[in-house]
Amino acid sequence: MEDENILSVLEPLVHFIEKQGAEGEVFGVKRNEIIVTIERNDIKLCIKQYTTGVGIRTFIKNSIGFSSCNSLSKDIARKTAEKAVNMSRKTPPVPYSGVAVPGSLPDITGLYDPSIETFDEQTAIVKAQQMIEVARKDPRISVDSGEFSVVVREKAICTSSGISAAEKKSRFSWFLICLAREKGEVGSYSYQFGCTARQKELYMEETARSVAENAVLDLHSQKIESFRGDLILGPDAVSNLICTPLIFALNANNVYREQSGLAEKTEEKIASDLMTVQDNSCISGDFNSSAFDREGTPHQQLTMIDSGILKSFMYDSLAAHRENRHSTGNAAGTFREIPKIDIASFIIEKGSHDLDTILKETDKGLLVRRFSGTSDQISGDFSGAVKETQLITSGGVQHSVKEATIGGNVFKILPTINDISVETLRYPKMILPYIKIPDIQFTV
Amino acid sequence: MDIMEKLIEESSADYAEARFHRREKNQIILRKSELEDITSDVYSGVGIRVLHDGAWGFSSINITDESALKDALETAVRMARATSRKKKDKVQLHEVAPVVGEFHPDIKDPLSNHSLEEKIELCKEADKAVLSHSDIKSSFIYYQELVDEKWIVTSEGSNVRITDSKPQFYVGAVAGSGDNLVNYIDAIGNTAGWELLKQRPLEVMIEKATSTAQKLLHAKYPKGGKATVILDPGLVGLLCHEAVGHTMEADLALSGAVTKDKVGEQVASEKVTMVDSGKTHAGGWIPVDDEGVECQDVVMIENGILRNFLHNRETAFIMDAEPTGNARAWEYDLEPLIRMRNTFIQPGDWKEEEIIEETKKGYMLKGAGAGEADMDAQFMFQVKEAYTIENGELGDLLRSVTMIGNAFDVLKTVDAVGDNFGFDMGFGACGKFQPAKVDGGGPSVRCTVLVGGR
Repeated sequence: MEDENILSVLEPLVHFIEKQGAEGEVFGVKRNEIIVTIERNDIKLCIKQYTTGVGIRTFIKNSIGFSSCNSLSKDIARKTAEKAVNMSRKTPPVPYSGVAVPGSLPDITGLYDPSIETFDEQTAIVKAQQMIEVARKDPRISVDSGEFSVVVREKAICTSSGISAAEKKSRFSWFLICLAREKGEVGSYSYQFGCTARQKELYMEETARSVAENAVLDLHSQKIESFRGDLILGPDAVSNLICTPLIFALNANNVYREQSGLAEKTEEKIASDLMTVQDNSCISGDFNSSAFDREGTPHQQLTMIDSGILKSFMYDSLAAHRENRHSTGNAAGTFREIPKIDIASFIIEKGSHDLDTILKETDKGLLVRRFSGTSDQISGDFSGAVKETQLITSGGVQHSVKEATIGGNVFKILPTINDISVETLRYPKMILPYIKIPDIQFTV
Repeated sequence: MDIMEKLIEESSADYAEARFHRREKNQIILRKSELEDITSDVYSGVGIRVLHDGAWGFSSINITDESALKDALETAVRMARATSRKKKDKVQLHEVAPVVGEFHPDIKDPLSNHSLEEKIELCKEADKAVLSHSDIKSSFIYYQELVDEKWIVTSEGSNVRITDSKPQFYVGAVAGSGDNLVNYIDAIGNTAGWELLKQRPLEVMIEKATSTAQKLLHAKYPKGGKATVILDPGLVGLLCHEAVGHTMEADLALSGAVTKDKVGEQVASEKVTMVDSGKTHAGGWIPVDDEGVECQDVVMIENGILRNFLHNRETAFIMDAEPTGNARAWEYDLEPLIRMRNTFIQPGDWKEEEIIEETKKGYMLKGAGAGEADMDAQFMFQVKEAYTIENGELGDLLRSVTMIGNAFDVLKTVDAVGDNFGFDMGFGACGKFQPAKVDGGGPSVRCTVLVGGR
């Protein structure tokens, strides 16, 4: 039963739910994976496993139930559906909730690379080993940990509203965490992630080289004096410092619940002219792409901020129905989670200058590759320490920096952004550039 | 269980362990009176790990019949064989005494005694009470329970059954308007049943969340810089766990954490004794770890001297130490990693009021927010509440405060340790490659840190 087509398991479940007097949304997953983990410059463990599961959301009028199990066995899935329906009988109604409206799915090609079927554990171990070897070409580098994984993931959804869709994807992803040692001194940890949907586009060696170079840059850090200057955030720091509150504020349900600092600002200027932000998981062949969201709504190219102007929030069916508009296809979650609004492939559009040019045009500032701090989702206040950071003066990198802190508010710095790099890095569900912000206080 | 035992006994691997884990997670989230989440999730299966020719292999399966388990075991052996061809440093395990038996936490009022309707009603009541306060614009109410059943069988004779029950409850309030919004979340979590809600009554949590959010709205930002601070048990717990504890996990120490060659060295004030304990009845309670090793209390720092690391069987062999029962896996399909349990500083002899009275200028820092640390023990913690101290008296509440420093430098500055004690890491979640329920605590402690501000 575990081997059959997922839709053939989901469709009878929807009928079963309907017979109980409810509407249903049934989401199923099959996942076949090989994971090779790395620890202390060596292969640590090889894992091979197969996971299946189903998440069932039911509605009786507007009352919701959600139950999930890690099995596609018909008996277990049916009991799970029964549990969801029973929950729907006990929960308070959520006005405007219900199954998603069917739509025309975008034609996204290149999501499944059949060559993944011949990618076995031995090949995965060799790839992981190559990452270690490339990073350690520089004898100062030590690989703390890492991972190389190969996943075939099938997902499918079936609803009472007539949605019936399935998709199969190939996913290769990897990361390395390295540190550098020299003359008894140890630098800070450096992390980099990489991914692709296609075997011929694997670039783990480039990731390994880059993470090793960044780790070496962090050697021999020196204390600095407090000063005001330019903050150049690397993509990882952009993710922690800017994206955390921005994504929360762009969630239409958070706007409704009065938890978004961007409420009532549509068509207002909220960021610099240089900043355009999209959620776009419709790019053919892209690791993050997929034709439909967790409710079965078609994904789309959604521009949320266009040249600094707030254009749209992210919607799921609930938020869309509440405002009498269409969902943007931003319902997200695994089969174990009730669908909630989130990004699918969040992209801050690249700028026109490369990082070298941005640094050359910096009189005094810090290039911060990692932000070890908090950026409050609701207030946008951020405060914390900078890591993997270099002091820039008169357009040149001077040395790495020890123990400096920054603080401010994300929504207040967005309009002041004065440069964005051409270079971008990939993260799970994000593609992010370097971003330059002027007049920031660095405290030590 | 019998099938698992039989397969593990018959395995061709040098060592094999099978871990059945069934987890039931029930969750309710209300945001501003709207039911955002109502989830009942069952995640169940067997994880099989084997050691063959000095290399690990792992496989898991969600079906528990004999043929599926046999396939999973064979796959794990195949993975280990493939790894052993490339592995440079062969794994060896420290010997341990097998553990046989059943282990259950001390639960007074099982969560299953309480209906879904009752749990929803509790959340609705909290939501209504939060929103009834002036200045409060929005609410966040979160209830989650994890109910576990585990069987662990090893080829060396361990055979244990463990049950567990870990509920958690948050009450959050958002104050302000427009783009000036602040929020405060009061959270509790423990190894417990429904009695958790008596440990901090609902009305106390509601009052704490709403009044603090209202005060934060008008609070000033701190001026950054080095300062004398008094940490409450929650922040002491976070310091023990995040900044010190991870550097004491033997896998990370071997990878080059700052503690690696410091056993026997003075790394903290002599007033500091720090322990990690699995058997203590708090949020990180585990009696036996996922390698079937009985949990030991580990004195990591004794009167300021670094003493013992936290081990699994592999690192115990490498470092010639005793296994401590710190190997933990979040769910059946993940391999055990070295993780902390309940990590704390032992109490001293100061009254908390005396510490405040004898602090001329500084901050009283309360409540563990988000935190992270590097392996050089550099840490950054979000502080939920920070009050100024002037001439021994508590003053204004400040907003958006972080504390930053090197844990061992900070611990060397400890000059007062309170006689109070508590575990208070709120929801107590750690995220070292996979989640884990942990707890942390201690007494109130005075030290010097860098306060992040503007």
